[in-house]
Amino acid sequence: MARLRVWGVLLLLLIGCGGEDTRTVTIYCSHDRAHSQKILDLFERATGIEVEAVFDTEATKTVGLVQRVRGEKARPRCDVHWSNEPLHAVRLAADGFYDVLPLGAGEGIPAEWRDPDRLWCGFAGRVRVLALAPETKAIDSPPRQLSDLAMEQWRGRVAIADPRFGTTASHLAIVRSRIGPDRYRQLLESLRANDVQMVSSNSSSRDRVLSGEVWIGLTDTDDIEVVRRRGASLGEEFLRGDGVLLLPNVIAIIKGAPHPEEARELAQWLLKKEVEELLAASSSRQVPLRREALVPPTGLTIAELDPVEVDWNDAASQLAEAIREAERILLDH
Amino acid sequence: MKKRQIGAFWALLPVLIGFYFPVISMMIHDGLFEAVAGEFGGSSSSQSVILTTVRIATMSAVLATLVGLLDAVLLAGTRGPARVLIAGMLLATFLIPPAALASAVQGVIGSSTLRATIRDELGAVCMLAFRWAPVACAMLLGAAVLWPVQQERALRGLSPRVALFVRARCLMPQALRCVGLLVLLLISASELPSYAGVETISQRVHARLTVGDAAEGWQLALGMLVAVAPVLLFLVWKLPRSDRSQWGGTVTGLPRLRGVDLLLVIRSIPVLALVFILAVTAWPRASEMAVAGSEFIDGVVGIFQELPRAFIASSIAVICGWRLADGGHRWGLLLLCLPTVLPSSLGALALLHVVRPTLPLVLDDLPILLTLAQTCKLGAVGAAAGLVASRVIPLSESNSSRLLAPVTGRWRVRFPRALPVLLPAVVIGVALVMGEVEATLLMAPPGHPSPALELHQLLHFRNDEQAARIALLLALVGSMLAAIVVAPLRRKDK
Repeated sequence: MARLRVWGVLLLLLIGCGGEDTRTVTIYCSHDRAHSQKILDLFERATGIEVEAVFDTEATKTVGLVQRVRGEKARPRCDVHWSNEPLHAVRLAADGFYDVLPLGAGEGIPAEWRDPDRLWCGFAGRVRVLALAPETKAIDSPPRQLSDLAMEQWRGRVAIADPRFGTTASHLAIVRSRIGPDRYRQLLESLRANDVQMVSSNSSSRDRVLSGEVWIGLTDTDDIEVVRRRGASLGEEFLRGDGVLLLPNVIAIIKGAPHPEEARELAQWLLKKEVEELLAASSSRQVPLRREALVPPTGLTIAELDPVEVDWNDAASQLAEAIREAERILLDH
Repeated sequence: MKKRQIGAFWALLPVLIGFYFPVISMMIHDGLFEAVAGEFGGSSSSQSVILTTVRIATMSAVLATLVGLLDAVLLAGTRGPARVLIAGMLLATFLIPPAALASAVQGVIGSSTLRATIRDELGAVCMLAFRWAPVACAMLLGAAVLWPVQQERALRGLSPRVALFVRARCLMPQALRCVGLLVLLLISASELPSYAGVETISQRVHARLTVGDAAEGWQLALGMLVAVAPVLLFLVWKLPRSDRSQWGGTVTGLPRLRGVDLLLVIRSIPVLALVFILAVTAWPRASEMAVAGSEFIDGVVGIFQELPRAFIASSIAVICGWRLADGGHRWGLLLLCLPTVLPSSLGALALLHVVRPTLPLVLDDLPILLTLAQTCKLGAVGAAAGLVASRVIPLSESNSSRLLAPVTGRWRVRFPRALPVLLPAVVIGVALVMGEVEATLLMAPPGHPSPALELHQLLHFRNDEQAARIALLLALVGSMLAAIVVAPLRRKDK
């Protein structure tokens, strides 16, 4: 009998643990924890809604939170998905994982950065960029487009992150979508012929430039900014010849989210202009998608970059094939 | 079915529920078997990645075991100052994710100094070997308690240098099994090889999952299993049975060799240097003291919140391994070992898809499935420890205990006698769980602390100071765990 009582008390405690007195919302966030946590703290203070966040890490590549969202389809645990690159989010939307965003969410963000069915909305993004080693030829006459990386003068002097993961995969899928499969394969072949080095991540690509192993590293603006703020000297080139590629963060609400009301509030709040301004001022130097957003003098504005227009759905549909071809040509040779 | 097989069935329940049931369900769901019918083992490039992975894992395991064997022989076979401290230091860095170590070293000496040594397969092998050598050392130190007392006495009668060689030879059977276990543990390593610019099977599986081609991911994993099958069989093969084991190898009578002391000091220098680098990086500026203090306290709380869970996961794996080994269930041990070979993310995703929807909602906030996934991943550690531990007891004692009621003989007689080997294995398992990232990211309930995951996130965005603070804490915990392994082995005579 005594044992039964003990088990009874334990069961009550267990059930008690699951009780919720306060309003909570769960977000899966692949943006830099240091910056996004501050923003989520502000939301908590403003609304009183407690935010439970799960952050991504590069250690598990893209298998992380996107796969978690897919794995939890039968019973979602996540309310809001904050993805720091758009193509996987577009695929999740196409596969029916997202619910409709509330009316008015992301007001002021141009239509090219949002889903026409309101399943996702982009905000503040980073730009694909070449990190250039100081005091080298790369600074004097930097490549203007991806195909320039295949020029003889850069042989063995270029590093690219693993083309199957992260923003590099998205970049290649967008390139394939824009130039077509044949020219895409030719581009990859020419890069391989020029001994382009494959490294584990964008930050490794930047680090190889910093260490002098290569002169040019394909990476993102935030990767460059974090080391610049620590005193490192690195040049950058936005590949204007191809058109500047801006990859926005994306907000979406998970279909069947356990806290739908709170999810709508958080999504609406994160898509405010002020959040874009906070991200623009942070060391990740994000580019606000609203032209009227305030950007610090050292920041980047969408007006000066004039990014290229991307067909997100087409690029997302080409992601798998772009990755396969990149693996076959660049990694399996 | 025989009674004895039914009795041992519970020891397989964690891997059946946490691995085989969900994984086989997912394989069928993802159409693996149709894919296998078409082309087994994937393309020739995939086969070459499998071969590279096996080659790197094998070479690293051999090198790690050689270094670990040297450390273990010197620590177990000689007397000298601060042996426990040295052993603690050797394991200290194992808990720190390699990315943190690499980042700290790069920050101080510059990556260009390192580039000649860390690129390509050789670099991957060296980095993996020196990272895992402390684990081999801890395992072999634990195995030293297997020696019969008479043998230990005879060794102490030999000249000190000859005794060291004889000790090394005596540890060879365990060292070979250590190689086998490390091969299984290293086969799914991806972080360090990726850092060295080498692709392993884990990365390729991740890439397949990324593009939504799960069937090919499973196919690659199956190819990996086939490739390591000989190692699995070798690992669960019989070990020689001891006549009489000793508990608590005593320090009295061990020789004291100045050369060995010097060697151990030199061996400790890289660890000391790493800890020093981390300490320098972690030290906050005056304006950051308050923030750093609160981060430090949060880190301590997080680590000590995770420790009991890691202990539970590791203990379950080790106890199941011992139970199967004690009953002589070799097929059961094989089943226990298999999940170690696959990347954690595959098992975790299968659990998420298949098992989680069947659990009551109230359990969602508890890290039950995460613990189950990590328990399955530690299967090979449990199997190896169980097999070695079941040979600790002399045959005559073991036979006598089997005359008692089965439960009494097993849990009151043989289990306590196996503890000297099982405890170090539990500690190694705790260290592995604390550093695990893949399953944690996929399954940890929101808000669940994970120092290793946090460290990776901080490093990615170059928050080096915060990362160094957590890394230091992890190193401290690593030292404490190592002390738990080593201190009983070096207990003095009363």
